[in-house]
Amino acid sequence: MKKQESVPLLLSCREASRLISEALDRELTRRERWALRIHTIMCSACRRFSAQLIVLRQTVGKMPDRFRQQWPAQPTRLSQERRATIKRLLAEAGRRESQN
Amino acid sequence: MADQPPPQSRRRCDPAEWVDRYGDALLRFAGARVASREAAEDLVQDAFLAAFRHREKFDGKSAFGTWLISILRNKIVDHFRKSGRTLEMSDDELIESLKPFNAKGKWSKSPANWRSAPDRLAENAEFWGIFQTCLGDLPAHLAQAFKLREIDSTSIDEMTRLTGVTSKNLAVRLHRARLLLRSCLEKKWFCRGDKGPK
Repeated sequence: MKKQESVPLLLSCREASRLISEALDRELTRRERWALRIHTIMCSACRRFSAQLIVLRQTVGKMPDRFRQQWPAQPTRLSQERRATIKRLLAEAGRRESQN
Repeated sequence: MADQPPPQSRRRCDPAEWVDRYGDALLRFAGARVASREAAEDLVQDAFLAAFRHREKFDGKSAFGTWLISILRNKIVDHFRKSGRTLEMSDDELIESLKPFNAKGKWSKSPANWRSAPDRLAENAEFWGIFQTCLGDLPAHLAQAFKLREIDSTSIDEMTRLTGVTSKNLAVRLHRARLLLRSCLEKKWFCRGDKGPK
């Protein structure tokens, strides 16, 4: 918390971009807001970066279900091979137990 | 008498049936939280085996599926702990190699004006293809942080619980993920050949 309070009033773009990102996840401190405002008044590149993150968030928020569903990283069914592997491992574990 | 398992737990004792009955639900739960199908299936497998070893501990107070999910959740937390540590370094190196900022901390290449309406963009199948490619290029833990936060709208509090990563560290990951993702999207979509779609 102390560290966040100690942001310099004059930010580099690197520091400003960090605060622009964090503003999407938490409320910035008063000092951080001031520092960011001063920087973005002068820096069009950081203003555009900020606008891009907002476009990104709004677009992702509107992702239609049909794309969400075909998202490969969000599988909906256990593969046949894996299903068989798990059953086999469970059966082996059961056999080991009954031998003991 | 005490040796007899209660009838309910005896019914649970065909574990092959667990897989058919709860496998897909567990996979969906894991798949929404880790980066790859492979990792999600590994976690589901670990969870089933752990459930089998500890099946006496299931007290029947909650639904069996809920109990399985709680085991899976612990496996996911362990997974994040392990992967977070091993990937931290290569992540720094990746950001360095991309050099979004110069030595003075200024943008090496100024971000462009994307001039895009989220409504129309969201309806564009081609965009989502590119988006997936770009997200897939991120290191897994950065992609995961972005996915949890932006795609699933998970709160930071819930993310710290789920991943075991501090909120400060999550802020670093999200910042990096956003820097890399915007850079990729700009190259592959918004400014491809400098005549991207309006």
